[in-house]
Amino acid sequence: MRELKVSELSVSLKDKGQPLVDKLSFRLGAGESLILLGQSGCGKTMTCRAVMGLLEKSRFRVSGSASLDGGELLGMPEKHRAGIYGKKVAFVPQNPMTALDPSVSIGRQMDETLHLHTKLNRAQRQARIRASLLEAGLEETERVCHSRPNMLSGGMIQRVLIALALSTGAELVIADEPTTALDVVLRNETVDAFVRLRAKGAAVLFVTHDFAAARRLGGEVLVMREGTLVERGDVREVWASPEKEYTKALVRASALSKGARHADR
Amino acid sequence: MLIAEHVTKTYRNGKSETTAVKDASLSLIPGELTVLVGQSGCGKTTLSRILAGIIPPTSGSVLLDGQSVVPPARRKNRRLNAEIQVVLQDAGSALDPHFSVYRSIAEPIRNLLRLSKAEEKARVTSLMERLRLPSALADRRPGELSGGQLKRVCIARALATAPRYLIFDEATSGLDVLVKESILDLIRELHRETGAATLMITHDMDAALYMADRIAVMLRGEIVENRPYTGDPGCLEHPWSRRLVEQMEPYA
Amino acid sequence: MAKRLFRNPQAILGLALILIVLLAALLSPLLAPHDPNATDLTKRYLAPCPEYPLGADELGRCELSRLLYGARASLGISFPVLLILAVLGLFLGALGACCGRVPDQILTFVCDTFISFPQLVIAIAVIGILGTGVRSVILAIVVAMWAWFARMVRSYAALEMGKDYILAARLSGCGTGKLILLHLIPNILPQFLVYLSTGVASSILMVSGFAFLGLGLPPETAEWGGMLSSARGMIYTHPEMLVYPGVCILIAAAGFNLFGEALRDVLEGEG
Repeated sequence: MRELKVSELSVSLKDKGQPLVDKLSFRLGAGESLILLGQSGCGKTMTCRAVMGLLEKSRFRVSGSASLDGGELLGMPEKHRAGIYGKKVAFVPQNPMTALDPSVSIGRQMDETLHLHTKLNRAQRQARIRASLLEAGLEETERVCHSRPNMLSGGMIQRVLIALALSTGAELVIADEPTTALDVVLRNETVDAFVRLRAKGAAVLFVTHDFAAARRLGGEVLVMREGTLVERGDVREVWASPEKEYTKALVRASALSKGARHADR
Repeated sequence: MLIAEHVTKTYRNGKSETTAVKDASLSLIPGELTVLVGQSGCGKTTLSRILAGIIPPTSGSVLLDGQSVVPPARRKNRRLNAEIQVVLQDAGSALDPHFSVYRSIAEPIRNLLRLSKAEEKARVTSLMERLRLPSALADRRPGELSGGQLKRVCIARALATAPRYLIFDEATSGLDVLVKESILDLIRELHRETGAATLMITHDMDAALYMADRIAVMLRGEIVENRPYTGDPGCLEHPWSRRLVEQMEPYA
Repeated sequence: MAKRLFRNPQAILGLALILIVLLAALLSPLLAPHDPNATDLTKRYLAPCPEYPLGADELGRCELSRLLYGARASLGISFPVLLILAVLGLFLGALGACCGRVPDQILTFVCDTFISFPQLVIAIAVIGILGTGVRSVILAIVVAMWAWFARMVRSYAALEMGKDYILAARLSGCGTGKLILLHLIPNILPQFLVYLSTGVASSILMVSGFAFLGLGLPPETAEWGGMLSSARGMIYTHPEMLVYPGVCILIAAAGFNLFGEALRDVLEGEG
């Protein structure tokens, strides 16, 4: 992949005028990350779903364009889409348990996916699975491989999905609130796994409401509110000196303890 | 005071045994807001449920002003029930889907206090006002409320019997940052107003440092650190506590 | 929910069939042109005519009247049966789910024992002991089916008991009785109604089955199963006598089954 280019993307419900996403444009190249940041209902998840072609035509009106290496993603036929998603583009959802089969061990599921998407033989596949699990920050590779999804914690499953994206060599990884349910330590380990993914040349589209996670990941941030863009820029610069009131509130709420409360009581 | 002393909880599953809480001691003191922080699965929820008298400890004791708090006692004793209240983690499932907001808030009043209909109504109305729940919501069901509103209804319910001990289990997990801030501020205000001994359980170190008068850190079932907190994260000494602080973006 | 139910074609069809059977049962004295048990041997095997719209049977009794009264017999037994089963099932199932491990284990054991026998065998045994009569038929069906209801309620109730709102209700001082009445039953009621609706269907089939076998009800009773049984001998000469009660059983059972399944689909769509 060279680049994901989204321009003037608008999404609205068919029966309501109010746009859910209003003329959003951004560009994401290989080895880069882009963060869509905002509260629930700000349009960040809707943007992801539009890019992945998951918005039903009967309910949503989508305009603008989203192209992956020049190929238009919006309104792509179903058959075509299956060839791209799962191979070139990987998705890490907020609730990762639903993305895996609960009755099959992690090792088998990863092996099947690799078998489907690559021409590696069994030994090569096993080696690649172990290597990618390690890279995603899961050190007990044997235990993870032999576990079924419900035997692992949410944070570990997140990283299994990242490992899966690593092993298939996905070029674009779209992550929807992957760190929301995690504590700081796990959150950072998960974000770090995305950083390694990026270092291998993948592009990361990261959706979150947590400025702290965004800052750790780095890259360009688009702060969104009610479907419109509030502020954009390098995440560390925006964090250090936010311009808009709304962004300031988000930064403050993401680092409450650094604020002045203990001084004022 | 609500005091848990040397509490251990072991779950037996066939032949294997897991110790969720190991020799933990914790006191809830009126006027003090204690935060118990730890990773998911560290046993903090189990400890809070033992403190609240929902589940019995395997060994150790929980005493409220010298009186033992264990499940049979809690279930039979109205006063005990009214004095210790818990706000459960998942507000969406902690409310009966068939109950209106009014009925949910009124339920503990009806069960635990002997008030007339008019007194009950006055109390629910003032609670809703206090928690900034518009009165138009009174007839709504949980399915029609936002995450922040659901949380407020749960808090109103817990406050309905004017408890002296309040336990919040992951009060803000799953909420947006701005909603989280407003709920935390609300808990702080309520704590100041009522003076109730408050225990907040969280995996969110940032929220912990924002709220705590006293901070207790839990690791694999044990309380590894328990000290008053005055606003300087540097006062935490245990390596695990230090690690939790260092992992936070603003302190990195 | 009601709105979505009325938009579901299967539910409407089921409801319409149920309504037909219900009206037939309620209004049979008004609708029936003749006394269903009045025999007139001069009219044996009478072909349909304005006075006897569906003709007459081997004893010259009006076929239409007997079919209408048959609805009365079927529902007259099935509704009390279901009422008893509903109360018993809710009570025992809730008891199993929220009154500790020992009552639960006893209930499960007894239920499993009953469920391991075919329903018909249990019912025949009960009728064998109690003798014929409407009351013993009701009792027989209740004994045959209660375990299924209790177990079904127990499993749904156990699922609800694990939810946070039950714990929250306990924390707000709810006793076990209140917990069951105010929280548990309202929340399992939709699923229970589904089961109840399909339960009516199997109860109607069972009543007809008994009558067909000549068990329980007095032989002259106008009942679809009994009519089916006595028409067996005429399968080559007057096959329509076999078809009429068969169709009635089908309509009644299909009505409740279709409605129950549509209700379930609507509920699952919502959940």
